[in-house]
Amino acid sequence: MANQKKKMSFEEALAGLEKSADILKKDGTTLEAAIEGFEQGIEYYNYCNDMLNDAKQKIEFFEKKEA
Amino acid sequence: MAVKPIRVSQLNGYIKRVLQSDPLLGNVSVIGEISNLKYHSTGHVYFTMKDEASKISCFLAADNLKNIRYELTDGIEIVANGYIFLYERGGSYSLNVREITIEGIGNLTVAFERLKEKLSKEGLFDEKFKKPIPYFPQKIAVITSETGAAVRDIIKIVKSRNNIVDVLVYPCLVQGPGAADEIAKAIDEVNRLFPEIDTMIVGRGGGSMEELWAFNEEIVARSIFASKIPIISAVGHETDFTISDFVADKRAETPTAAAQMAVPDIAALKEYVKNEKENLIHNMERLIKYIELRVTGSGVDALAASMNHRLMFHAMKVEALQKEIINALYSRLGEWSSRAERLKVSLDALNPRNIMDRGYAAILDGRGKLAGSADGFAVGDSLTAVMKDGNIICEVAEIRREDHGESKEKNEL
Repeated sequence: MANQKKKMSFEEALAGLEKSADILKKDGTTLEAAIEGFEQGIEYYNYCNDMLNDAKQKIEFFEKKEA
Repeated sequence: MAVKPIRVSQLNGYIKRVLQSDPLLGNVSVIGEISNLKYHSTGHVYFTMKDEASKISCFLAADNLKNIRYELTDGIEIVANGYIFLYERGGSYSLNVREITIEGIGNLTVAFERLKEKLSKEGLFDEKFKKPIPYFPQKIAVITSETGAAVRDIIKIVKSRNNIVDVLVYPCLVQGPGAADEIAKAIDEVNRLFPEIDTMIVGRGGGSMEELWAFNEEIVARSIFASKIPIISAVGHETDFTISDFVADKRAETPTAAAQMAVPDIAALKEYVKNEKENLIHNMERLIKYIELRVTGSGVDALAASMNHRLMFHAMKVEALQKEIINALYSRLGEWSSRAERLKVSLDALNPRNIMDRGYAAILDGRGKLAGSADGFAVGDSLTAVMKDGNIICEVAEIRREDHGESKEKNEL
């Protein structure tokens, strides 16, 4: 999971979070499925949140090397 | 004055020297309309420039064509800079063109439409080639003038929306001769040196059509098309459309709009993600409440009722079985007692005492054993006759066998 998470894009994690919330809304969701969905959703949330708080922006100007 | 006649080639050679040594004719700019435009397979271009009264043949060498910033077409008015050249073999002269500029919105628009049509036919604007702009980029590049308004606007907007994405500004000329070349090279170079860049913004702030022209040049269009990195074209104002806009993966009306397109608003995303988490928790709580309700409410009672029902059912079953077993036992018992009765009757029938009532006696030999036959008795043996009411001890006086012969023989033995 840790490896997978590194490769996961923000959009994928966000889609995962949205899907998890939907699973819990569906009729006939078993308690087990709901708990699993919930835990995954929280993981997706944490992942999104980590990305959103990774504020280490760099703004730089490229210096052309004169030939 | 009579002069010694000279040969044709000598005359043309002389004229060539006169023409080509003239300082004015060595560097002249001519205004005129293009006609008879012909692209030769060698890469050279031949055309005629004319005005209302006159015309001149023009030659544009392939080497110089590369620097021409416009798509040429018949009927367009140009300013051609070059020098007069004389072809000695044909005795004709032409304007050897080094540079072409086009002035005026009308003429520029013609050149613009020409190139647009050409690239469109080639498929450079096709939707199928458009790459999606990444939603959550880690790093973007901005190709524009480092001193222009565009770079300031873009950085301002990026910073106000997003404190995560890295921005690489790749400075280049955005107007004048050479600008298109720099822009095209910058696009190629960012692709080569920074393949990790998610999105590129290529553009500049507002200006006249001439000032924006670099973004209407074919060389820029080709580089944008070849870019592996998705490109947002952001040139001038809302009303300015350039060739770059058409070939880019996305057109932004302004550099500011490009920045908004390129990076997501982190605060809004945080809010959205937080809402989604709350949604998740809310849905979970609702589900738990629902399950709880089912378990505590109707759940336990229904369970108890169902258990009672099952218990009763089993109890009834046990009771029925019990009755069945008792019945079976009784019927067995009846069967056995009638059988015993029958046996008793037949036993009674066989009771020897009953026979003795009718006068029969049982004979016992000397050892007290029941003797069923006269055989085994000899004269003088004692025997006991058992009668119904007592025993008589007797002595054998004579034996009369039913079968004499055999008994005698036996006796002898």
